[in-house]
Parts: sequence; C-alpha cells; structure tokens
Amino acid sequence: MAELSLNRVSYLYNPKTESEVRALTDVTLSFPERKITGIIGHTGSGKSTLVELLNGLLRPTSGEVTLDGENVDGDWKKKYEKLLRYDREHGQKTNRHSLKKRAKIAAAEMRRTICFRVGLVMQYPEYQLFDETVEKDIGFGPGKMGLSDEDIRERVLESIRIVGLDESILAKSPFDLSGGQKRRVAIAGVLAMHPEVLVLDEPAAGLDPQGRMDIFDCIRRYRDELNATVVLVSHSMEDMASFCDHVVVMNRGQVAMQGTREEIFSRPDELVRMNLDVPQITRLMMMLREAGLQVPYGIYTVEDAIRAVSTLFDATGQAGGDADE
Amino acid sequence: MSVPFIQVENLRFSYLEDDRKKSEESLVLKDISVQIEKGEYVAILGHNGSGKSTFARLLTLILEPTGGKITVDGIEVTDPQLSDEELQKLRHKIGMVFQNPDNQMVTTIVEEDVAFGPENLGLDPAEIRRRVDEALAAVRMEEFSRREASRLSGGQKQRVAIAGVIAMMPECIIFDESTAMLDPQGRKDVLRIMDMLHRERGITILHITHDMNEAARADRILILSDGRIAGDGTPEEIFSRREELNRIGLDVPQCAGLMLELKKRGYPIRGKITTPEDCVDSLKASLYLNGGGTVHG
Repeated sequence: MAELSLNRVSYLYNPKTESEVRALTDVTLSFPERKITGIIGHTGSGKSTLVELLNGLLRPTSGEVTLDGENVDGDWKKKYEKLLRYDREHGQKTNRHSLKKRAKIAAAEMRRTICFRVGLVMQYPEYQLFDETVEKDIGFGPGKMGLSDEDIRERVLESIRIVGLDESILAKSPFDLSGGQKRRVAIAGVLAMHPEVLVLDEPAAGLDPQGRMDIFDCIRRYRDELNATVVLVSHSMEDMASFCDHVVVMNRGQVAMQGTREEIFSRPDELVRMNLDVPQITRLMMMLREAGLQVPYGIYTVEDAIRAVSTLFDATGQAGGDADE
Repeated sequence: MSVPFIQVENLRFSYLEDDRKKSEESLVLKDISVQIEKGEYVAILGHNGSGKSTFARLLTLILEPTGGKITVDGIEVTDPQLSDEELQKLRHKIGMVFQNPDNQMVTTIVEEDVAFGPENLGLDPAEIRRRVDEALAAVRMEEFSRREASRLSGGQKQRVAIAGVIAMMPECIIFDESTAMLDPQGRKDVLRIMDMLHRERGITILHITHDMNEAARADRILILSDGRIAGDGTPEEIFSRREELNRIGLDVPQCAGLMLELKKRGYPIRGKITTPEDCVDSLKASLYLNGGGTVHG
C-alpha cells in the first residue's frame, strides 16, 4: 500500500536565469491506490517532468511530492519542519538537536529506498540493458537493494514469469533478444525491486499490436499480484481507454482534467479543443452526433458503440439479428 | 505494354551467410511475388518479425536476395551483369526513411544533413543549394536550416530525414515505421508529408507500419506474415477479412470493427467502412433510407 501524492507542485528548469522554463504550475494530484492512472498530454505539457518528480529524480521548485505522507526527495529540512510541527501540536518539549538527527536519518533512508519503492520504467527502456545475461540484468536492482543471492534469484524468476517470458531466456545475452522481449526484460528489471508504485513512460511505444497487449498484460499482472499502484504515461488515447482506471490530462504544465476514464471520455469536445486525440470510436460518435444522430456521450469502446448504434437501428424497426440488448 | 515500377518474383531471403545452412526455417522471406506500379501508395502491414523491414532493405538494394528476382523500372537488380554505375542509379530511384529519428542524422547542422546525399552525387553547388532549399521547404523546415539537428524534436528530426531523401529526388520512398517513435503531432506532420509527396509529386510511397489507422490512408495494403504475402487489396477489402487479420496478430481500426460487428448482427450496413468519415456516410445512408425515425434536425 502506498499513497503517492503531489501537493501544489511547481517546477522550473534553470530557475532565475534567462533560460528559465516553467514546466509545472501548482499541480495537486494523488494517484489512487491499486489503480492504473494514465497521464496524457502533448509533448511539452509537463508529463515527463511530472514522472521524474515522482521518485525524486527531480526536486520540486515549490510544493511537495509525498509517499505515504513522507517527502520523496529526501530533503531533511522538510522532514525536520514536520517533526517540529508535530511536537508543537502535541505540546511536547523539543530537543532540536535530536530532531535534526532523526530528520537526517529519515531523509537519508528515503533517498536510499525511493527508487525501489517508486519504480520508474523510462521510455525505450531496452536501451538501458547492459549486463552479460538477462538474469544478471534483472538481478541488478535487487542486488543494489542488498538482497541475498537466494532472494535475488527468487525475484528474477518471479519477474520473468510476470512479464510472460520463459526461464530459458535468463542465460541469454539481452542483446540477442527481439525488440518486444528486450522491452519486457527491461520492465522485469524494475518489477524485481517490488516497487509499491510502478511508473511507466510510454511502455508500449513502437511495438506491434501483439507486443502492446503483452506489455499491458504484464503490467496488470504485476498490479494484481503485488497490489501495486500504477502510473502510466502515454500518447495513445486508445490505450488510455482500454487500460486505465483513472485519467489525468496535462496541458501547459497544469492538470486540465482528471477523473475516471468514464468521466474523461464523456467530455470528448474538451479533449479535442486541447488538440488531443480521442479514441477513433469516440470521434466517430462525435461525428454521428454532428450529423444529427442521437448517440450518447461517454462511448470509448467498440462494444459500447455497437450497443449505441444497434439501438438507433432498432428504433427504425430494422432487423437486428442477435443484438445483445 | 508498360512494365511495373517494382516487380518482385519468388523473392527469398536468409540472413545466414553459409549456403548450406539456408534451410526453409532460416528464410526470413519465403516466397514473395508482387508488383507495384509507379505512383501507388501502398501500406505494408505485419507483426514484428514478419519480414517487413527485410523486404524494404531488399527493395532499396541494401541487402541482396538469397533467391528470386527484383526488377526496378524494367532493370533486373539481381542481374550479376549489372555494372556498379547502373546499380547506383537504381539505388537513387528508391529512398528510405527509418524508424528512429536519432539514427539518421549524419551532420550537426540541419541543411548540411540534407545536403549530404546530393553532395555525394557530385552535383554542382548551385544545384545542391537549390535542392536543399526546395526539400526543406517541402517539409516546412526552412526556418530551421541553420539549426543544430540534435536539438530538434523527434518529429522535426524525422522531417529533416525526409528532406534528405527528397533532395535525392527518388521516384519511390519507403517509410520503415517512420512514425512509430513520434508523438501525435510529429506523426500527423509526417503522414501529411507522405500524402503530399504522393499526391503532388507522384512519388511512389511504401509505408511499413503496424498502425491500422495509418494503413487505412493508403490505396492498397500488403500484409506480410511469416515471410509471405498474406493479403493484398484495398483497405476496404483487407479490413473485411478481420478473422484472418486477428490470426496474424493484427486488428482492424475501431470504426471498421464496429461496422463489421453490426453487419454480423444482421443490420443493413452499406458502403465503405475504412475511415470514420466513410462510416458516418454509410451509417447515415443506412439509417435515413429506412425510416430515419431517430434522425432529427
């Protein structure tokens, strides 16, 4: 269980210089536990900056990213302030020296563990494979966590199973694999650290339809088996519609919309106004509405569309064979 | 009788060097015969490992066939009698844009990159200048001509790569998953350029993709599966064979899926189903024709 939240986070690249760029402005978000949350937006909307803030790779210029209430960037001063506040609120006498020490230890621990607890799968992660064998590559992260060889082996076997690859692949060089297999091995390397929150940036980009399905299946399997929270960045609205429970729409460094996918896709006109794609089937429904046909809002799967258009035909009294109404 | 622009007969290919090891299983392309006419816009579909990219590399004469024949513009490229000079001429007829925009830049400055090909043709500087300017204008990157290529976005880099190919004035351009790594805007830009090159310049376009919505833009779709041609027809024809597509790991666009399912359930679907626009027309026709009780306005 892990609650990952952003509280009024802003981020500036090169602050107070001529090349200052505002990437995020006052973003407040929390990622529902055990759900898959999709983040969508244009290039330059702040998606990637957001992702790098989630596991402390970047520190917010202002505001705070927290995991179970603790600041993820491991800044001991923030932790110290929190401890001071706690003492004050509880009327306890404060030993500043010991509080500082406690804050520093807690912050150091957070810095050490955050990249295991919030696992980040970057874009085209297969470019980061490096070791001699698949087994060593996947075991690298667990090794850095200080696990025993036995535990590492167990994690490696579990991860390779979750990503749907055969154990026989473990002895191979990662560079002898197909593109789709490499991608899954790279993801397995992050899963092996058992992150409580799994963050993936365009995990299915460049793969064929079967490869995409395989990736989404293994993300779902990981979520279900380890009760993890998943954050997924994608450009594909069709992936968002078929795969995510919640959707966050980023626009110009701010959260433009957030909600369940039903809520988001029942407002397709707003998405189009932001120059975002909507699933093709949703676009078809919008076009039918413009043509004067009465189809309901909030359709983002082919199944829903079949039902809606069947209803139109049935209303005209045309034979509908075995329609499933 | 005119000869087809590209004629491929019984093409076979294996990546193994040793002839003895070239068994049936090692063949990436098993038996491909196809004709492509000048000015066609063809999408080539297939899952990973189906042989799409190998096929493209054979057409651009980067690879040599293991067996079979390729003829471009009436000249047999597999003919051992062909002189190097003639082969070089044939190579210039077919250009290629690859998948990864970062792998195609050879120089640091945009216009130098576009000039790289024409310079190697030994053209005079004025002609090179003319071609570079024209090619950059065609992809709307003229403002970026003095920029550093490494600082461009993926979509912009891909447009520069296309300009580099245009500057060679090929008769055919192969796009090998050139949109797969781009964001939606970059994708749209590249697809628009492909349409423009096809429509306004009559360039033959071969677009290798596994995106069905992109394939729907072509006049003709070729499906490669397991080293063979598994389908060849208009998008309309190909999309109506959904079960076959599913078997080889592909699916039709969402709107075609809707229309096919409605038809299966006995609703009177007439007309085309390839794009959302087609579907709206078809659905309107079917619904208005029969009472139209649900139509208002």
